[in-house]
Amino acid sequence: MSVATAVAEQVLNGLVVGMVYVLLAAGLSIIFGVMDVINFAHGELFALGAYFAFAIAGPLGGAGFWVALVVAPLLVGVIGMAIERLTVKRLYGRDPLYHILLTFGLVLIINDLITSVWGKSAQPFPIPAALDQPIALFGFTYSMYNYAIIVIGSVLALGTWLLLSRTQFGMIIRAGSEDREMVRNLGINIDRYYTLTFGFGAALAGVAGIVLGAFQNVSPTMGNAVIIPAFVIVVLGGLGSFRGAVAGGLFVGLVQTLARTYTPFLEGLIVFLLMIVVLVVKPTGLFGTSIGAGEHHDGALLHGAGGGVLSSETRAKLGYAAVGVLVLVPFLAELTGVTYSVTLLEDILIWALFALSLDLVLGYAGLVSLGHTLFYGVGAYASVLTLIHISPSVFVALVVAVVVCAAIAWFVGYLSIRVSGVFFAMITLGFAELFYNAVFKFDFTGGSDGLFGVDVFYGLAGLGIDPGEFEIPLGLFVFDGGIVQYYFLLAMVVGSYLLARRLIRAPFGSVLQAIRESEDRASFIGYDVTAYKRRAFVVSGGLAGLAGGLFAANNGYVAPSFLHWINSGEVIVMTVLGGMGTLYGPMIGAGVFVAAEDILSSYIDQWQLVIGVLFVLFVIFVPRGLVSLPRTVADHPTFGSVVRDQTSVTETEVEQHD
Amino acid sequence: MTDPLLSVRDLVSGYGSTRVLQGVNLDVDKGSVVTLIGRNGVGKTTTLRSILGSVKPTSGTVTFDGNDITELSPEKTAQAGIALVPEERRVFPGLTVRENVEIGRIGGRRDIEKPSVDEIIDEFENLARHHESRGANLSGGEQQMLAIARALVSAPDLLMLDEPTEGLAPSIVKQVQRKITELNDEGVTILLVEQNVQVALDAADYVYILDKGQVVHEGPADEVAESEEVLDRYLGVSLAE
Repeated sequence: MSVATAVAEQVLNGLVVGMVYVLLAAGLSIIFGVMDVINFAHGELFALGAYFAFAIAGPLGGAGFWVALVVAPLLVGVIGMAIERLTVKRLYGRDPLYHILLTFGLVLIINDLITSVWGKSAQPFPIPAALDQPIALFGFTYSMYNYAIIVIGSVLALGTWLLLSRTQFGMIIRAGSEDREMVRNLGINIDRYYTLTFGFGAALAGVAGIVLGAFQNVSPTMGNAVIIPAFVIVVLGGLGSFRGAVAGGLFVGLVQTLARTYTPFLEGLIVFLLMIVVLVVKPTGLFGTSIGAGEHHDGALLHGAGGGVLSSETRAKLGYAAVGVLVLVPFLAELTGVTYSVTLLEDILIWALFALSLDLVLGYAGLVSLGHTLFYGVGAYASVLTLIHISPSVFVALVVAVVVCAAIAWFVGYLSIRVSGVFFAMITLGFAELFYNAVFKFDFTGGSDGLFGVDVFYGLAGLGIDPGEFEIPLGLFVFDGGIVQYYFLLAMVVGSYLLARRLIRAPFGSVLQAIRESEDRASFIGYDVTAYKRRAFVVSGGLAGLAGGLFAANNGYVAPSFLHWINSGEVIVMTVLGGMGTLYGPMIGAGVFVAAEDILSSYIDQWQLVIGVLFVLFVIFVPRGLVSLPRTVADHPTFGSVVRDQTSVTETEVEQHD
Repeated sequence: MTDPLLSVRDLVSGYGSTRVLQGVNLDVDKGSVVTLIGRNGVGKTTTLRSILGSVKPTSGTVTFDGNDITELSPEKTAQAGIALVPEERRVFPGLTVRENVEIGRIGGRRDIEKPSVDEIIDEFENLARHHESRGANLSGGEQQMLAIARALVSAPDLLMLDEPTEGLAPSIVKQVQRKITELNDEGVTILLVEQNVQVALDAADYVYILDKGQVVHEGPADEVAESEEVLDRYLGVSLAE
């Protein structure tokens, strides 16, 4: 085969993948453009399309594929419409963050449903026999099915473009994406169009899923695999721009395919590098315009409102009591034989620290960092590498982790903080994915295995405790290395909380909150808004790095999964679950989330589904988090009188932001 | 005397805990031009928004054509026959002039014959010239005309204009003013909110002066124009050169 035909074949392969991306990204982009909804569940709708087709085509055989190609997307469209009606619709007018959270819950639900119906393993989805043969065109042979994908994709893209630009439906959609209130003022019921748009976007994702499912196979992870590239495409092309989605989809498909063949090292990295470069140079993306972009910053972030019901003394007492209980747990565990609870608590403490770090930027500076696991993962890698190559001392390792993460946070912040809102979220996600893909590429990071079997020394220069050899019997109780680790961890987490509290109560914290409330007003007073946000981001990155470093030191290993975006999603979930904008809220959220996950997963197979449903309900009904529950109860007409008596009005005002 | 087309009674309205309107009363007779004037922040725009329903009134009633529309959403109010030309025009920047008018025609009342898009565009000479341009590429005056055209194409029974001359050059202000008079001559009922007192008094049949969320003075336009004391006290302006 000549070089030219080889390249031509790769280009065709790139177009095939690109077409799938176009369909996926077009739906995502339209949904975002019209409704400001960042739909993380789009990947799962894509997978649903593939599985529905798989279920329809299988028994029918022969022409089944074609029936499925029509029926399955319609089904997915109906599910999309139902999702919009029942869940998404309730959150319009809130910050896009809540849609991220909501659709994150939907990911868990749909994914769990898929695995419980069709199983966990990948299954072959045969392409129709008529298309399953090579065809010679332009001097070389190529699969007819691949040509079919290109044709199907082009037809649908063209159809979508005609729908958007030439029909009344499209006109209303476009007008709505620019100024939805004005569309309402004209007497047009835009809500109905939202539902249809969501369904349409979902149906497009369904088609993409079928086409790719038959190209490769169907598996429950297929949605997870495409959602991040799809976001990259939408951001690269320009949020809400259909042209951008098409150009970006084809471009990313081509670049990925060509990189895989010609520069394998850059595969998986190049797309994120491109996205970061594009966003830094032109924050609105290749085809994005500033039209309508201003609208994306409306909607309020709802902060935890824990104050008011419980006085600050009561809360301080509760805090001391919580720490007291945590100190006693190892003794109780040993006495009762439930040593497992210590391991669970260690997990909770680490996630609590991670959530606390996120809250500093999310809850106090209003920055939605969608890639916060970058710092968690890098902190873990940095500390393990330090333990292996430099010093076995955990102190040295953690200092390195914090410093490295703070430095990376400064750099990421330097590039990204001047763009706000969704773009900031996407750049941070891009950086996290860049590092995630990068750790697979190097030997020193241990590739896909990660690094494990690390020994940790709790001391410096030979003075200290080696947990492997440490043991002091104290009557019924043995004070061993594991307990040393636990107390060390507890001390670090409590210390970090106190540090964060000091910071938030200092003028620095007040300025941050002012920026969160109104960036313009803060800058009119004369504060350098960008510098303040960047400093908060650096502190946050450092603390997240500490959390990652602690986990790695505690468990003696690190793996690429530390950098997976799911962690970023989960930590946001914990933060909002507890109540962002209060320092203790996210830590409570982490405790509840980790404990619920642990308990549910040991009793129920469908625990993801349960967590997903709980989470969706939570986002809709308790958006201010668990810490707002006392307030909610106090405001309740019948139950309120029980707790309300202890409350003074002034406290409600004063204690809001602690 | 027949009932007024629009009748606002004791309207109290605002945003969150802030009360902007403290009991507004006003009537708009069919076929008339009524203007609402007052200083910045006295509640003129809020009055229009409360009539439309994009701000929910806390108490009071809005009656339109004999029906209580106080609780209606903006969509429903618009479908009842009230069209708004909003502050800062708010034409759809990415839609062409034609599309901006077309989308206006989709809105409004469902049960009536509406003028065609071409008819409306032809009425505005400066729109007809570039009906394929995007809204964003028009001048301020052209955008204002487009916003009026977008409202008119739904054949509304009542046209509400919110500061239509704001930020426009004096010659364009004249054009807008002429258009308002022309529309009224064709029988369109108009409720106009205006900062430019001269324009407001020239265009109006009847004037309401709003201060701190209440109507503090009302009367036929020529009477108000004569009353230096009223103008000075509530508006701080003098029409004398």
